[in-house]
Amino acid sequence: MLLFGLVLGVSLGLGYVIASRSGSLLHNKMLPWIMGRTMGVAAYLTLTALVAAGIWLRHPWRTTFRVPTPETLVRAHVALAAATVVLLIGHMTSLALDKYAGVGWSGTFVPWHAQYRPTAVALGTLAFYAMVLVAGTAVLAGSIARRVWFPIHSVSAAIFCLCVVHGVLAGSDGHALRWIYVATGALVVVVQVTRWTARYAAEHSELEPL
Amino acid sequence: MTVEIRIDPTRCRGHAICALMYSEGVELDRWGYGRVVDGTPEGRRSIKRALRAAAACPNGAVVVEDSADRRIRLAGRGPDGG
Repeated sequence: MLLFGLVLGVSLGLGYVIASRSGSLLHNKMLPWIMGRTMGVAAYLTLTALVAAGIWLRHPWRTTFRVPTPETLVRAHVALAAATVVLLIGHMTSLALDKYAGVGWSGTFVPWHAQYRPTAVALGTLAFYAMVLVAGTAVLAGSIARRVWFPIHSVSAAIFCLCVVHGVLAGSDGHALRWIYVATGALVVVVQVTRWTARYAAEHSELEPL
Repeated sequence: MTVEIRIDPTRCRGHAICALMYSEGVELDRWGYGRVVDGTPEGRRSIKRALRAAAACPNGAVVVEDSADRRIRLAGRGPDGG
């Protein structure tokens, strides 16, 4: 809860500083679009940290680093999940309210109903529903069967891929942000691939005869 | 009712869900594996949290037993937590 407050506080503080330095924006008819894009990018960054932290939690190499401690990491994972959901709701609400965006409420919640880049927006909508499923089953862990919540939780990396494609194809500034997508995508891929290879190596070294 | 919580180290894979759900009784060691610090939860809420932690563990490493060493689960749970 404290970490969630910290993440949200830093986000809002940065938002306030940026907003106060661009006062003319508040009277700009593009404000919902700018807000939607800003929160979309912020949600993507918190999602990257969330997925990377989740993968790292079970990475065999985690034992070689003392910082962050597993306790901190697992609590950061939860705080980042909550922050991602809040930012995602802001992202979707802003774009649904924007009269010029060509998305609208139906385009936001019904796949392929947006006038603006329907397939790209639909990928974001599908990713949102998948995230609701992952977050909902994680919150209910302990109340629902472990064979239900954990396999669902394991598809989060695939949802991240969906979000990357959504950001690249739907973002009007995708070209300007290309290095962010490359860096964050590479981070998640490296963490995931090294986890698989390290686990494979560990499992097979145990099978060698003494 | 007296119950005891323990973690089977051969099953624990360090998902850390137990430390989130039953933080007053389980902590993580420096490698991220669960370690019981208060093995006898007292009070209805605490016991329920321990049972939820046991039900949520993806590897079934968290075990809650009564005073006769019988494994207990949340109402309606099968052997695999389902």
